[in-house]
Amino acid sequence: MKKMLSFCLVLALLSGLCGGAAAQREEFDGELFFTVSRIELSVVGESEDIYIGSLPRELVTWESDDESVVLFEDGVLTATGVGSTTVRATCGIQQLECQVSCLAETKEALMAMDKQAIRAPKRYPPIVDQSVNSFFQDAAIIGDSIAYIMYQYETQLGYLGHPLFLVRGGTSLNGFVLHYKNIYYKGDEIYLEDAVGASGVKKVFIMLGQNDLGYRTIDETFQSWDILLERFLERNPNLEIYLQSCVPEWKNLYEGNSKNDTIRAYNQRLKEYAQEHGYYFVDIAPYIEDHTGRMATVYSMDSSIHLNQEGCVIWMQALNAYAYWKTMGEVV
Amino acid sequence: MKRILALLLAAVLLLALAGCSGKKTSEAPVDLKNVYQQMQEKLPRMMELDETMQLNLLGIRSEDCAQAVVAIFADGLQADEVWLLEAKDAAALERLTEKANSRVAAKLDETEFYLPEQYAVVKQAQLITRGNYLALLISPDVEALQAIFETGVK
Repeated sequence: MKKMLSFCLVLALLSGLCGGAAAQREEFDGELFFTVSRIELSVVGESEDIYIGSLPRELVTWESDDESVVLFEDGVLTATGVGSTTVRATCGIQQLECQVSCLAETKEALMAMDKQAIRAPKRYPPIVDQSVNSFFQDAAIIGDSIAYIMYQYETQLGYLGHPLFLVRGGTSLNGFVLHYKNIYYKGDEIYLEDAVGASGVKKVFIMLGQNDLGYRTIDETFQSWDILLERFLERNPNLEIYLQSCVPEWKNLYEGNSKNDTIRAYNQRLKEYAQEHGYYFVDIAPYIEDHTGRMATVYSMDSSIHLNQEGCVIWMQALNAYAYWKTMGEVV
Repeated sequence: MKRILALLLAAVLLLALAGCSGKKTSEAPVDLKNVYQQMQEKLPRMMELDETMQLNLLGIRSEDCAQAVVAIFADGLQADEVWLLEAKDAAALERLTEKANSRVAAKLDETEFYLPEQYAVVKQAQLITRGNYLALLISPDVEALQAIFETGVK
């Protein structure tokens, strides 16, 4: 009988503790959020932190349905074996899941796999309520031909609520800075900074650099960023600047991948640059790359740098997810 | 005699009026959407631009147009583009012509060293005005589009 009583006491204490913790969690204001809705880790041992929610990690319970495939601790995934499973974060009444796979035991085994598998996308952005696209209604999307194609699909699908597009094919940061390539705004060719000023947009989402990296160093490209963004801020000191990472190029597996190595180094520098200057960094590239660091085949329009409709949709979903995350706790 | 003269005058006036009304019938507005529909089988998948997009991308002001059908290629970097506009007056037509020329210049610049096949297509672009109607036609099949436009606005 004593044993029974003490067992009940322990149970009561435990449930009290759990209830307390749950209550504490429910009281906490914040949201669970992952960088991905689905991810394929390439090889065993690979890790990735997918948690960017506003709830502190210590208040969250992390679970993996199959720890022989992946461990999920403090928001960090670590592949332990080949296979697929689901991971889950729980806090009070909130719960969020993510599909996770691991493709191969080793890099050698990975490269010996079917091409279709290793040229598939590694990450898929979170899918959020599209009403968040009001975030882009006072924004301009700025870019070259890659963004021009996104303009076409955005116009047809409306994923971003039809922001202003200031795009021109074949252009570069250098072209905009030296004014040998300008923007056509309302039918007139004017300087990009003047178009930004005249349009009255409050945010700019810029993806540029891809064409610069073909003939200029990363250092030179960042000198152009300095000049261009200074000009933007002269026109509108309150402008919010969002720098998007450049997407990787599609390359054949037998070709070298040095251009994508350069793009990766450039994107890393862009992230640091944004942090140093108080700009925002929106990392699009991870959603476009495959297991080899090239553009995933299903997103390639022309076996080059341009995204097809599927790729542009992923890009827009990533922007919407970013907007959701950015406004978490404000308007959402 | 006076009666005969009055009758003749009336007949002349009636004939003149009939002539005017006949002329008016032949100048009834052309439905540019209908003209565009006829062009569609000669075109790849296109997307039509609304007034805001026409203004922001191309500088076409709705206040200059009695009608405007504008479509660009929908799936990438092909140069195909069609503008079918009816200007409100001669001054508007001049402004729209200037924007069309500007667009051709921009497309030539964008494609010259980058997309040589598309550059060749843009080089054959046709900018046609008939009365207050304007067509900018950029297509590998530009002659067929031109014929449809010419027939449509005749």
